[in-house]
Amino acid sequence: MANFFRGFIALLVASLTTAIIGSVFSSQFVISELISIGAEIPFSTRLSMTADDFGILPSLMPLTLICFVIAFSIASLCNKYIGGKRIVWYIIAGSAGLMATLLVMKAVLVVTGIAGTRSTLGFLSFGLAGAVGGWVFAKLTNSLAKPGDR
Amino acid sequence: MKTGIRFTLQLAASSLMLAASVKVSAQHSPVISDDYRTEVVTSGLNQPWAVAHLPNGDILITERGGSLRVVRDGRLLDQAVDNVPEVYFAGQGGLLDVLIDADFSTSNTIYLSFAHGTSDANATRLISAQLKLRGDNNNPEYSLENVTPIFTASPLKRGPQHYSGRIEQLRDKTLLLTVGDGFDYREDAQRLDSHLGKIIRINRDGSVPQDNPFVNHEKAKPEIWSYGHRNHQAIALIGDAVYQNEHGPQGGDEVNLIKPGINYGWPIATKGRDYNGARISPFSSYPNTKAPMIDWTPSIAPSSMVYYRGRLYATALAEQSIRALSVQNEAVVDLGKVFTGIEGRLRDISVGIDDKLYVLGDGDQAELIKITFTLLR
Repeated sequence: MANFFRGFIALLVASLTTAIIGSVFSSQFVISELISIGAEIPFSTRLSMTADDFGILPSLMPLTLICFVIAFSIASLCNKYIGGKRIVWYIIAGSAGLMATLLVMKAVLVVTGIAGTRSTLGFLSFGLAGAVGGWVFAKLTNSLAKPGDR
Repeated sequence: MKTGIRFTLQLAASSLMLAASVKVSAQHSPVISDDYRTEVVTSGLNQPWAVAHLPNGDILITERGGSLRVVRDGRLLDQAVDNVPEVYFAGQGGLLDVLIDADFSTSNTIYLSFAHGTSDANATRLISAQLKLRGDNNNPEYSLENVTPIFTASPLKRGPQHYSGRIEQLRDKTLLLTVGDGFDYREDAQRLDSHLGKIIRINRDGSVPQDNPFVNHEKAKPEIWSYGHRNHQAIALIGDAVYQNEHGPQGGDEVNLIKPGINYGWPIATKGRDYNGARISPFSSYPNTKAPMIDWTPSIAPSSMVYYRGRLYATALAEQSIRALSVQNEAVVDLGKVFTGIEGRLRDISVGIDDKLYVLGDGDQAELIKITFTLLR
């Protein structure tokens, strides 16, 4: 029970970390697009908009959480049956999972749900955010894994 | 002395109450008499978008699926207008607006706007065609001839959202067309080498009027008349004055007075936020962009707008309402909701040849409703 609780906390922390990084990335790509069409955005305005955009966390974090439950379950199975470095599986799962989630969202909504991911770089930046989430989860749950699985 | 102070206080309180009551009265005084009458002209329409009234009393109604329907004497004819071009029907796309040319009595010309192309490459397109009537009075058969594409927005875009597509004709008989920003392409609204997020103006044959604001601008699309728009669903003319409304994202719906060459700000200046709560821009206003005359935040999703008996009337989808707007010296004031008994998402509003207002519903099994009313102020 204690292990399950620790695993769940790790999942929450990983999801929150990824959602925060994703939100920051999204803001920067949106700002970059605005600058490309002539908007002058001082650094202080960039910071305040980035902070204001944390308002998307209540919708982004549950999405990330659901994505990670599926992605990390697959990572766990891969680690168990294929072997290799546990942390690598979780980094790949976090990254691929979040990018797959964006693609599914786009297929369902028909438009890009997170504006900062419209460009290829913006899309890949969410892959990086997902990878960090995977790394955080693997680190926080490392002591819960069997020694042979680490 | 005490009596004097009490009297002064009572006088002050009375004055405040009187002032408050006058203000409340002004806010709530009705625009339209309560005894307006509505009549369902026809029903059973499938995702209609726009209405046009022919001089002979017949009514044309576009359905997004690609049908141009005809209402004659209150009866929706089974036979739709023949030879309507194929449309890209998905998302917000499909057959959109219909406009009767100012010289229809001699030319039989009408205009249709629609989404054209495929899911990976599509655009707002405008065609002209001649509307021919065959058959007898009991079995009229309309068809389009000489169908000619006169404008296709460029670049082509992916995804079936934000076509806009409203058509109007200025007094010089040139055509205005609203072209949406394509949703995922919102920055194109500021790019003059793209038609997305613009109002374009062309001649009736598709050629470019030489007095358009960007004809001599290197790299700009010469059809552009105004820019910085998102998803503008309405144009209403009052003489030569062009009023427009457009959907913001979450908040930031606007009414604008359109002047050629002016930048209306989207997406640099907006009071709306993205649907997930993120900022579209840090700016609600920005230098060298024109602020809206009316901002509707939260959104009402304005769909269409018409000038009638000294007022603008705007239909709304999300708010499921009709709003009356007063216009004085080009300034617009929102007078609030009118005809509040008419419910549901409303797609279009127009004036018939009988000088009555016609309101079109939205979605499946939609109705066309005629309104008769008395204007109070």
